[in-house]
Amino acid sequence: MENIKKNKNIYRTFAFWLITIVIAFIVLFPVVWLFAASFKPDKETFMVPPSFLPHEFTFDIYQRILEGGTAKPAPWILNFFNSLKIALVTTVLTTILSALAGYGFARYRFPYKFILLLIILVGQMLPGPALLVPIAVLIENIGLTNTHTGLILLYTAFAVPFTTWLAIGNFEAIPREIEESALVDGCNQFTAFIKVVLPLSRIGLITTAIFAFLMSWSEFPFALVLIQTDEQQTMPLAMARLIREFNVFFNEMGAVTMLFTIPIFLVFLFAQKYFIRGIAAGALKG
Amino acid sequence: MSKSSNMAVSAIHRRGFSSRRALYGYAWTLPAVLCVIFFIFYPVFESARLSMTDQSLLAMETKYVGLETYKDMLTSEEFQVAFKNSVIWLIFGTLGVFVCGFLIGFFLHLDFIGSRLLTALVLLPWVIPDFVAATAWKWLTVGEFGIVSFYLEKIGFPEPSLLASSTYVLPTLILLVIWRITPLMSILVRASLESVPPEYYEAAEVDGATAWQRFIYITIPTIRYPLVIGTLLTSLFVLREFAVVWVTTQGGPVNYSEILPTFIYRQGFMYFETGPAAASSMIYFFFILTFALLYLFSFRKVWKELL
Repeated sequence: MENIKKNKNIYRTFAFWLITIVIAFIVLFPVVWLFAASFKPDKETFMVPPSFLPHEFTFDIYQRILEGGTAKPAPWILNFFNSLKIALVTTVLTTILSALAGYGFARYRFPYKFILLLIILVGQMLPGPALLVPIAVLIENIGLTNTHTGLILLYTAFAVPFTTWLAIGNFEAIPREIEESALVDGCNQFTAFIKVVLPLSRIGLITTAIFAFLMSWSEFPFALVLIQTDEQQTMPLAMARLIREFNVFFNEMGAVTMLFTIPIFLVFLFAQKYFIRGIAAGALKG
Repeated sequence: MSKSSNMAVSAIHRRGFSSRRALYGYAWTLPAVLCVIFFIFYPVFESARLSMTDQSLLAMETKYVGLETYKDMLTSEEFQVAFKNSVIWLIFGTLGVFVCGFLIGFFLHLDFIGSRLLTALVLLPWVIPDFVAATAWKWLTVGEFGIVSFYLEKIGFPEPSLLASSTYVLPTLILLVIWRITPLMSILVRASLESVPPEYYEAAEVDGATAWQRFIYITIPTIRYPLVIGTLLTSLFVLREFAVVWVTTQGGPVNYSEILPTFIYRQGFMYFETGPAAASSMIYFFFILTFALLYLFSFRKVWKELL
């Protein structure tokens, strides 16, 4: 009897490990393949049969990228900081706008509130790529073509519906009594919001910020349409230009991707908890 | 602080629309709403206006043609192919994400050694940008240099360069999208499974329910709301994909992997046919909104109780 139970446990453990390995393999295979390529010398990317891990390990590609990359007018570092600037400003703007709107929707009743909420909801449904033509015209008309300001405004507008939705859920979870007592103690609604509500909802704010950062950091279609000069290009754009050339060095692509993914991994390492919570909150509270 | 003052403040909250409070409500919410109106809704209206014209940046004149452009688009073969592909994309992408996400999410929920690490790993395809994922997949299947296509050829697979094959290009890209968006669904399923109160299971166990019965009668009903909303979110993400196709095949070979977003981009920015591009966008929105409303309507029993 004791033996059967023990055997059953072994099978169970074995099955769990097997499933874990299969899932991890499927998830990791393409990513590791790309990253491994960044350590291969040029000739190895065109080797037959192809190698999965580098046979000959080298850092040359990274050096090449830091020196400017193959046939590339603007250095990668410039693209990197363009992207970083745009993503950070977008994050700040989005967080502020969606915190204000989320609080307003969670706490106030006013005429046509339903319509405003509907605008936010439908705004989340409309896919950006399908709006490229009129958006390009709009940005051209307000004179922001080929500027980072134009991209920042667009990214903010397209991030705000989702983050506002998250923020409403967050603020509704905070009991009204807490700020009501602050109001009685002589705060006005705004100072009560700053001093009492915001500190309580910081986890929600961090989630919002992470989403805004990730969305704008890797956005591609708008940048493709609006940015024209090499100096203004964001990372995704510069990377995509690299892919479309037929004789691209896949190892260079891998190395650039590594560089590009560093901030994402940093965000991910420090904030995995918020990340998971954010995804869950987005759908659980809807 | 006295109880009566607390009640007084609450009373203000409960009173209907006072004009001052209504103004405050607008002050808080309008900055975000106006931003959305200006950068998302205004372009939609602009699209609607453009779609009634035959505007082409290559022609000198633009004239109003009413619904003519819509008719042209709906009857053009290229549009029909892109539309059909988008429908296939939506159905199989969403179904695939739902099935894989549910299974993986359920597996992650079972507490075992390494489940936390696996949860972090599973998120990876969703965290990396879509075009990076696309690049990796593209190079996996590029002739004899790609590790997947190389071994596919070894085992005698007819068209090993999957993304260059008219038969396999769309299924491969759909698999790629499933691979990319499944993490969202798995995390969601795992999080909602965690929110099921354990007492429910304990009570059912006392009553002699089998594991399967507990799953059908407790787990599924309790997490059906996140499942319904999560699937809608998934489908909206699937419909938004553009870069995945654009950086791998640009809709090719010929137009076997053309979906509406790439079709619209091609019309607008490669052929400079802005009128037809706008009309296609409008048809696409109509398609998405109809789909979302039908979906929400058919699951109204699930989400209505939450209102």
